[in-house]
Amino acid sequence: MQSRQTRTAYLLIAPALILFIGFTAYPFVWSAQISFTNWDGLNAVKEFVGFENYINLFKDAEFRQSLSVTVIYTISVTLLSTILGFAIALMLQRRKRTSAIYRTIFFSPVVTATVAAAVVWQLLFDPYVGVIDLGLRALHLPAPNWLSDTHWALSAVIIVGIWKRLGFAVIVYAAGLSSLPISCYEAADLDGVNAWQRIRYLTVPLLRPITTLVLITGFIDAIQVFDHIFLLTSGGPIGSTNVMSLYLYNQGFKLFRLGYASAIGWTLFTIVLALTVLQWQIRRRSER
Amino acid sequence: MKLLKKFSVRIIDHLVLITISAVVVLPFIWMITTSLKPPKLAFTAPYLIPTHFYWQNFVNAWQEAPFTRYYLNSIIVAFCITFGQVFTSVLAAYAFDRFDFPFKRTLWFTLLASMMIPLPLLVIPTFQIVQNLHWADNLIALIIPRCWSAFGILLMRQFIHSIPRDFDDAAKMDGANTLRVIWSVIMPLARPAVATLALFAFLFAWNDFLWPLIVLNSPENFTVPLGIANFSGKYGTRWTLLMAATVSATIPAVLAFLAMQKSLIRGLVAGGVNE
Repeated sequence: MQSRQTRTAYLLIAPALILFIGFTAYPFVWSAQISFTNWDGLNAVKEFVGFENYINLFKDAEFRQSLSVTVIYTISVTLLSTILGFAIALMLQRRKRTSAIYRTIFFSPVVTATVAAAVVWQLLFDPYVGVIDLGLRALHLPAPNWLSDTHWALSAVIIVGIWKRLGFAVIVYAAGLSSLPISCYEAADLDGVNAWQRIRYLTVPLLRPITTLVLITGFIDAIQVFDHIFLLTSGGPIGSTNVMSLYLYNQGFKLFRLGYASAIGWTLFTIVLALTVLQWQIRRRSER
Repeated sequence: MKLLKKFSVRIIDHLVLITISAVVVLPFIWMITTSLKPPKLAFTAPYLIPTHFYWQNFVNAWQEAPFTRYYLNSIIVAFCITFGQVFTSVLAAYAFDRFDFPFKRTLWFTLLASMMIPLPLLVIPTFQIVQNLHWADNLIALIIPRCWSAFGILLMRQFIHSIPRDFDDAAKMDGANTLRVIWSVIMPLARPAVATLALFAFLFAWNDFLWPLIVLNSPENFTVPLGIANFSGKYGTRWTLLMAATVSATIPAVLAFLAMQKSLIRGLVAGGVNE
């Protein structure tokens, strides 16, 4: 009986398991191996170079810049979209009747193909005909050349990142707010707390698990960003928006330095792993 | 006094919400109006209202690039991936919830942990695998590797767990085998979760860019995002034409997704909040 159950179970898992092994587990392990070679993907020759790729990475000024650009991008997009999303969700909670319309609006960038949206943002950021600079000039403010100025390009791609991410934060917070126990708020009302105290001492602590979720999934998502930066700036000008995925893509698929690109990938993975472990720790502590 | 305060809070709320909404929809509005303007009048006042509609942009865009083909490719890829993920996820989730077998916990943990692997890392070796299989520049390379999903298995397992085992047992008494039970008992009951998973799979497949960019070469195999990126590279600043192409590539999909947003949102919430 037990062995028959085992057989049935494995047959049911087989389709997913085979694909998992073939296209996730095996490539994952293989990429570790590649990262210790200087393989170019074209020749069969793979020379084992030990930790050379990793050592070179940390000597590589371009990689260090890429790392810091990625960190700035990831933290800015995640923090700003989370804070803004929380504020919007709070307002939507008060505006029950119209909240569905607003939610749909905030959600539409989430379901838009990022690449297509990037083409439109390219037009919006255009220094001559873009609406952003037209507006800034009308207000007699400085109108930067967003995508080709080293001081502004990163801000520009961060704005697009927030635009794309905001809807997710709004939806998750809105769902979280609607699941909070009303009794707490009733008790607080009896104690005569004001609106700010209610948010600060009730809503924020009660929503902490959701905040952790929004932040961590946001970090993991943003740290891998590729699509819109590829289209808007391709990492330029002078590497000011050269995030790690883009650097990996250029090293691996333009210069065919597969070993080096894999080492970049593993650095990326290590950061994601650290963030996930951090999330577990936080969750475990909050459950205690 | 209190009434006045309530009223003013309401006004402020709406002012703030409308302002942010305006910023969020600005790209869509700008895209649509630009696509409708004659090239020479594209960037003259009034900016937001086309003075006369110039549909020729759309005719030109569709002549310059085979959008029908891009749509067709995207639809084929997205439907196959959706079907594949639902199929593999439901079967695996059922096994994980209803059966005990060796290495169950290890396998479960491994599958979930694999969600942490960044896609750009997998792309390098997966491309080698796809080449060895002679799948390069073929839609099958986009489909097969994506036909399973750890998130899908997790979502389906959560849902199947809430279906009482009595239902399975009743069907088994009538002589149904495991596949029969999954198909006629579990699937109908799990429909909300299946709808959510399907939407997620479809959306992800529809938006995917990095992987098709690496795998596909021939324009006749391009998916919509790749087609748009290619079009933008070719017609860099012919904005009216470019916006007509972008409208063609996004608006139908966005409307379809928004029509189904209830299931989508339920999935976001199920995947996150209830964890």
